[in-house]
Amino acid sequence: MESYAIRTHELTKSFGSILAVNKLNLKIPYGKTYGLLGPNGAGKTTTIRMLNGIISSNSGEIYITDKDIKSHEKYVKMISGFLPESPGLYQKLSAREFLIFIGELYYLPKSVIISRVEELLELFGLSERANDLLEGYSRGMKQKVCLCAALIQDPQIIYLDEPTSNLDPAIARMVKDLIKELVVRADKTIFICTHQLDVAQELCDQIGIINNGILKIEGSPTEIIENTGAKNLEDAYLKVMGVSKMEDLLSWRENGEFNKKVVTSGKGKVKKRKRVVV
Amino acid sequence: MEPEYESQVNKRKLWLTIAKNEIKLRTSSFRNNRKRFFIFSYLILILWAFIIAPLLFDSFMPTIAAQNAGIFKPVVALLIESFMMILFLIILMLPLNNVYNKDEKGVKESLVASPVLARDIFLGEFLGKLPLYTFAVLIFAPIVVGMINPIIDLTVIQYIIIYTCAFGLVYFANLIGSLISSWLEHKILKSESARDWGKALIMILTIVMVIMMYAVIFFINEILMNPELKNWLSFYPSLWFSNIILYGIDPLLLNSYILNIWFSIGLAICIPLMILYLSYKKAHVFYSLEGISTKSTSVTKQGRNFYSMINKLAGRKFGGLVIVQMKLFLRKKANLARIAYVLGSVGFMAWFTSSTMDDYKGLILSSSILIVLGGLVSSIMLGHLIFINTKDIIWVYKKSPRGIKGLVYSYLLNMLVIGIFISLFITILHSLFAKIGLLDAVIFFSLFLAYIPISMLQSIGLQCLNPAFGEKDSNMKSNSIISMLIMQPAIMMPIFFLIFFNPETVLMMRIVMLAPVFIFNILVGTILLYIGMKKLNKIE
Ligand SMILES: Nc1ncnc2c1ncn2[C@@H]1O[C@H](COP(=O)(O)OP(=O)(O)OP(=O)(O)O)[C@@H](O)[C@H]1O
Ligand SMILES: [Mg+2]
Repeated sequence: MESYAIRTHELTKSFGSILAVNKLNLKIPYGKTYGLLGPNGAGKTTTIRMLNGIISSNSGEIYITDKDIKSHEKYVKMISGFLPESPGLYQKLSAREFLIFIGELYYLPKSVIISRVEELLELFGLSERANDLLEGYSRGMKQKVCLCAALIQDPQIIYLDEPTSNLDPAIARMVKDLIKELVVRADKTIFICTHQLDVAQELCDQIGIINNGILKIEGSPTEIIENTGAKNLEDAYLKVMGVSKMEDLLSWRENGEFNKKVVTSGKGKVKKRKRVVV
Repeated sequence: MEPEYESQVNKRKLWLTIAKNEIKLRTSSFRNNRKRFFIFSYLILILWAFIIAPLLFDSFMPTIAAQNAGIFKPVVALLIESFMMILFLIILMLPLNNVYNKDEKGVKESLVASPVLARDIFLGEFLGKLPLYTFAVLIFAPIVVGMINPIIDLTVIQYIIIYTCAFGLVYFANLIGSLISSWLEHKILKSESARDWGKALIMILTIVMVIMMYAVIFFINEILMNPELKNWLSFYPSLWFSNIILYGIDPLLLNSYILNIWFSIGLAICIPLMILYLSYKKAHVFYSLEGISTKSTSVTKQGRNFYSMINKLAGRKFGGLVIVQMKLFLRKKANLARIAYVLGSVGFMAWFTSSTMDDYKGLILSSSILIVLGGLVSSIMLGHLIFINTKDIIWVYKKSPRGIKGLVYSYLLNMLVIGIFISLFITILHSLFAKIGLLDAVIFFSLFLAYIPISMLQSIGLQCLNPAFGEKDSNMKSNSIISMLIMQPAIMMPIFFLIFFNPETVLMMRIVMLAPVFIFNILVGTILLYIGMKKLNKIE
């Protein structure tokens, strides 16, 4: 059988009556970047959490580097790095202290932790404020600290949930370049969840689009665009999602009470939105 | 902006919207039948206020009155006064207690974005609290009334006076409390570290309030002898209201006061209304919508030796994690206040128990009780804090190969380290008060220290079962109550077994009193912790 970095078979997870992930089959080869796209609540974060062994699945199997996650939980956690959606940080620690703490969690030797932390702080431009408590950090800075934390044990597989969403353009650029580097130079496997289609198009070798827990389509960006007969990835995404026409979305404005009262302040904003022709 | 639109915004009473929202927030557990909840609970309270409470007090107050026929009226007067004094303080403290626990920064921000003004939010939040404070009045006022009714046979007018004053006092106290807390929250304690100190301060204020309550009880005779002493307190608002009640009962009761009835009525009506009006008009002075700015704080190298010592103590596997827990714990000033509370209360008990016991057996008894109390207080005050502010961090631990165990064990070890200092302090106090020898002191220290983590097993286990991520979470209250219930047998056990076995030797005494407690707590604690960690591992 062929060897994959990440392989799932009929992976299913439900929260009470909500089916978050439904019979997901993924095959992600080593050294590739995989992008999971989908609307809010599609099941992306749930998938990533299952792949990391943070939550358990209801049914189906997960193999990370061909090892069953159920019997190799510790191993899987050691070789995977994870950037969570919302930054989980100790507000009362400094960035440096927090990263050292994460290193301890992964059983790294002290000397390795220290050098690795300094390296990462330097890389993300956090060195100057590394001794400030995290409670005073901005959201993007916190995101950077979390990114450092995800990379600290030099994991083989890296999961990134919305990696660039709170970063300034320069840092976002840097992160994107970093991801490319990690793949090319260090041969890492990267799994990204994102809404940002340009990020997906630029970075990902393979893309999957998920909706209501079901994988709708999979392939390289160009394959997806060709198969759907779309002009670009955004167009393809909207087609797959079956988003109705913009006119439909705006129809509520024509017959609402809203129209009569607060017209002036509303109109301008809505018009600015990108018009999409489907 | 179109004039039509503007007038529409102005016509809407935004404070009313906010008040309604506040009520909804506070009754969210009854959100499906809020109306019924209010009707039902008000019905019960009115039943209590006008039927049950009068009957209850009627049944025993007359006999007490008969026994103390001569001084009864002044005593009742004093009771009413002190009751209202304390009530005023308690109600004033309530909003203060919530100052630093509002996790509504995000909500506030979206409020700022709307056309709402600071004054609307202030007034709305204040009014929104009133229905619940009305509950408080309907619960407590009947007690005041119940104390008076059997002796005086209150007329309808006197009833009305008493209830009006009670409502007035409670609303006014709430207004002042809201003012101070808004001011603290928005204008004074803006940086995170200042907020920390604020929390510690409020904790200490609460302790002061308890002391005041005791002071009233202790000095009750003094005040009865010299009623004019109360004139020193005439600025204290609760007296204005209680004066009106006293006058309503018997005008003679006011004779020794500077404040006569007209002054009292004037102050009781004008000052609250004036403050309400001014606070509405000038809300921007103490209430800002800018949100809390967090000044960035740098950590210093301070205490390096201390931490490296802990690192060695905790061992290679857990050293780093324990230090993290330790830093997190000590960097919150409110936690220092908690430790002070533990030291204070157990220290007081050390003085109390050792001063009442005189022979050697009494000493063993008192030290055993002290050990159990020390574990109880520290487990309730400190053990339950394990998951405070770790809502997102839980995932970090879960993701790591160490899992939740990393968090639980390192917190427990951290508590052991803090326990060393607590034990040392209490041992010194105990040795001084009870004049014990070195050997006894060492034995006491080791047992005291050992019992702290043992008694914390169950509080941490309970937290794992039902984690509280904020100090004011409802889980926190229920967990602490369960914790106290579990510890009840532990407090009873030493004395029970002492009486039951009546051991002869000192060693046997120690074993009989402490071994069952230790075994009980280890058993209950490990079972709870085991189940709790299993459950927490499955958290999603
Ligand atoms: N802990 C939980 N308890 C209950 N339901 C959950 C939980 N976590 C996720 N869900 C539900 O599972 C579904 C998928 O959620 P998920 O977080 O995976 O979406 P997502 O694709 O990451 O969305 P987003 O783009 O907004 O981050 C949602 O309907 C959500 O309500
Ligand atoms: Mg998500």
